[in-house]
Order: sequence, then structure tokens, then C-alpha cells
Amino acid sequence: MAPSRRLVIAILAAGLPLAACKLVKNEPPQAASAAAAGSVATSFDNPAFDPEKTVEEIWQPKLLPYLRAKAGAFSELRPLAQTSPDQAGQRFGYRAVESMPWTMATTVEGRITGADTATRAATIDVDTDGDGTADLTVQIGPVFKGTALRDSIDFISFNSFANQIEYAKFGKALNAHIYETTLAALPRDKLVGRKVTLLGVFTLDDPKAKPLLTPAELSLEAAP
Amino acid sequence: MRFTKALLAAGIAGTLALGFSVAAQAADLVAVITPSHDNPFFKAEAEGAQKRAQALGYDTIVLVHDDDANKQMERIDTAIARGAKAIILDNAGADATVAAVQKAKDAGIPSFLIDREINVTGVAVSQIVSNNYQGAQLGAQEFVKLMGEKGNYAELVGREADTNAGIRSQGYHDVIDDYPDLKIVARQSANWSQTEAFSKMESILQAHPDIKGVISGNDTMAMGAWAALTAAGRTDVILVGFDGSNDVRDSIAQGGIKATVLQPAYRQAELAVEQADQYLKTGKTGQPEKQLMDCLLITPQNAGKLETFAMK
Repeated sequence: MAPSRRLVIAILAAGLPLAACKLVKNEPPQAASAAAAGSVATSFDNPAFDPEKTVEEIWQPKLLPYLRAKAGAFSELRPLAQTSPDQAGQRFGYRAVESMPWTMATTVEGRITGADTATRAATIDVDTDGDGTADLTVQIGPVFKGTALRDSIDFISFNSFANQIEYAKFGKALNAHIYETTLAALPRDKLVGRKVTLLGVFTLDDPKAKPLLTPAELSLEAAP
Repeated sequence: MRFTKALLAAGIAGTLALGFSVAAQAADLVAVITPSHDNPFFKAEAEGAQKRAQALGYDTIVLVHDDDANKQMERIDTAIARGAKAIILDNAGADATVAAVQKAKDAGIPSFLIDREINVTGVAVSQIVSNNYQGAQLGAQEFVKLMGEKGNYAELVGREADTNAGIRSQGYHDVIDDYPDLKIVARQSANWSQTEAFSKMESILQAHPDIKGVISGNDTMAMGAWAALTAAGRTDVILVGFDGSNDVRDSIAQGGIKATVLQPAYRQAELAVEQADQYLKTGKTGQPEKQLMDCLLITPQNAGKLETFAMK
């Protein structure tokens, strides 16, 4: 029945004048039809697809144990990733196909040296070796760049999804989960100077560049 | 026959030049089927596939389907009739293509899809897919940054029947809609066409003179929009495209269009041929069927390294 439903949606969407599109923000996907959300209805639309449910099911029982087991301490991983990216990737990372960069898993302890919270793609800078300069950047949302959490997972692949739209929605749902459960509650104006501990992932596309982490777990030391 | 012989000669010359030994019998045939070469993107991928196939000792036949599913079926029939050993295909629709690829499979010919995916697995051997969604997010993130996270903007969408038009638009909106101060005032399809984008842009400018930015579903439409913006003296408008064409590269270098997103079309086509070769020789590719290839943001910083859909 799925193909005929898809067809109906495509026909409906084609019949809607473009000017009728209006943007509705942050509605759960179950409630918002493609047309109502202002997105383009495509032959890929599948209202039954529920990425939030999948994320809820895997986060605690599978994802966190998997990342904790894979992760390398940042102080060990970072020098290796700079000199031998493939070796570092094989030890602490994953990539689905050889044409993709490695996604690395790492544990970090450090001090927050800066916070860019004026943008919705907010980040903190973290110094891990105590020299006062930042060694990595951590995304704290609500907007996240990339899909590093998704790309770090070896137990769910692109092949498990009908198409890249659903695969992308799964990636976005993972980012949304860490934001809603942990990062949304961060005291955004009181971050600089605090000690932070986190488990995170990053894409190793440029071994020389300062890593941009997406956290899977993050905690702040109690305020002084 | 003359055509085949010429192709064979070209194939032999190609392999000789690269120093491979040449078998005495006719080489196996690889069919390369893409949309129209009018768009330089598809020309580049057809060339990438053809040259790699010839270098690996294959004969090639290059065909276009013009985004027409019926024509695509005819081209598949041609490949079957010609006894092709493998098909490299940039397809004409995620649903409509399934039957064509199945037909080739039933005739014993494996298909290796590039650029666009289909909605089923197990019919094609490989689907090496441009990560249009990831690319669109890169373009949208740059657009948001250039816009300062606020202002009125317009979107030019590709041909609505084309899956990638939808994927890119969705990727754009999944980023931009997170910024409540960015307001879309017009959203129109210009069907991937430069001339259509020119006239659409003209009318959008008339209706919304306060527009601050335009995000375009591909580079040919971006070129049309830029011409209209220039003609109206509105080169202050922030414009971002998608594909990584040489035309847009040159505009970026001159401070015109602000950014685009490169799809690694050339490398993707080569990779498909390499996997076809591996599959024909060993019965497997060693890779999962669906493989995403990431896109790359092109800005004034790296535009100089871009040449024919690949980074130098």
C-alpha cells in the first residue's frame, strides 16, 4: 500500500499552488504534513517513518555503550589523528564506506575557554591540555552542523533506510535528542571558565583542523 | 559496425596509452546513461564514467534519457540489445526507474546508479548517491551565516518531478527554518533552467524589493537569477547555488554569487565504473549497495581549486 499512498501525496502536493505554502516551525512530524510544513512533498515522503522513536529506542541501551566502548581519550586520539588518520580511524572511529571521512568517538575533560551563544548554532571552546587555548569546539545547539552522531554508528546504516531523506531525518533526530535531554538546560551565560566532561563524536575530514564535536553525553562541574 | 569498431579502436588506444596489455578479442561493453548533457554536470559524470571504463579496457556506449522515464526504458533496451555487461545510470526518477533497472537485471546486466537514488534496494548492485541533503545543509548554513541569521529571502526550486529538487529544498529548510528571523517571501520553481530563473527572479524583485537573499536549487538557476539581479542593480543580494559548476565558480571568484556546493560528479562516476569492474571480475563490489558521497562547500576561499566538478 505504501506506493499508492506515496502517489496520492505526490498528486496532492502537485495540485497545491506554491503560494499556499506556509512555514510552520517545530511541529512534530506526525502532526505536520509535508505541505503544511512548507517543505516540498517528494516521492520520498513516508508519514509512517518515526525517527524520534528509533532514537529513543537505541540511545540508552545501544548508542551510549557503543560510543563509550569505541571512544579514545582526546589527549591520545588527537595526536594520532593528525599523524595517522586512518590508524586513528580504525581504533577510535567508523566509516560506512571508504569514500567517506572517518567519524571519531572521543572522551574529553577540559575547561571552557569561550562560548558563542549569540547564534542558534551555538558552540563552546574547550581547552584540554591546560595551556589556555582551545583544542576543540563543541556544538551545544539548538542548531547543529552535520550528522556526526549518525555517521558514527556501525549498527544502523544508510541501507536500513528507504532513502537519504529518512536517513537525514534520523541524523537530525539524534542531534535533537542530545539537545533536548542535556544541552537545552545548560546555563548559556555562565559557561566560560567551567570544567566540562563529555563523550562526543566528530568528522575527521581535515586532520589539521580543530575538531567540531557533537556531544552524546556532557556534564559541567558544579559552579564554583 | 563502423561505430563499434571506432569505439573499440578508441578503447584499445586508451588502454595502450596507459600501458595495459590488450586482449585480442572485443572488449566488454559498458553503457553509460545520464540526463541531457546540456547541463555540464551530467556531461562531466558521463565523461568520468567513459574515461574510467576505457582505461579499464572496456568499450563504452554513452546515451541520454533527458529525464524521461520512457526514453530511459528505451536506452536500457538498447544496452540490453547491444550486450552491455554493465550499466552506469543517473536515473530519471526514484520510482519510475525501478522497472527499468529490474529489466536490465532480468537480462543479466548489473546496474550501478550514480547521483540519484531509487526507493528500493536489491535491484541495482550499487547506488552511489550524492548526499544532496548534506550538501543542501552546507549551502543553507553558509546562506544563514551570510544573511546574519535574519532577513527576507526567496528560494528557487528545481523541477518538481526531480527527486533531488525536493531533497535539496528540504535540506535548505531543515536548516533555515531553525532561524525564526529568516523569512521566506517567495518560493518558485524555475525547472533547473537559466532563462526561467532570470524571469522568475525579475518578478520576485518587483514584488519584493526588500529581498536580502536568494537560495537556488542548482547553479544554472543561480546564474539566471544573478543575471536578473545584476540587471536590476541588486548585486547586494546574497545568492547561493548548488552543483559546483565552472560558471558559478567564476562568479564567486569575481565577488558575484557568494557560494555553491560541489557534488563530486566526476569521481562518483569513476567510482561506479570501478565497482562495476570489480563486480564483473569477482561477483561483488566489496561495498554496501547504498553509498553516500558527501558534497563540499565552495566559497571564495577554495573556488580556485574547482575544475569541472572536481577539486584540483
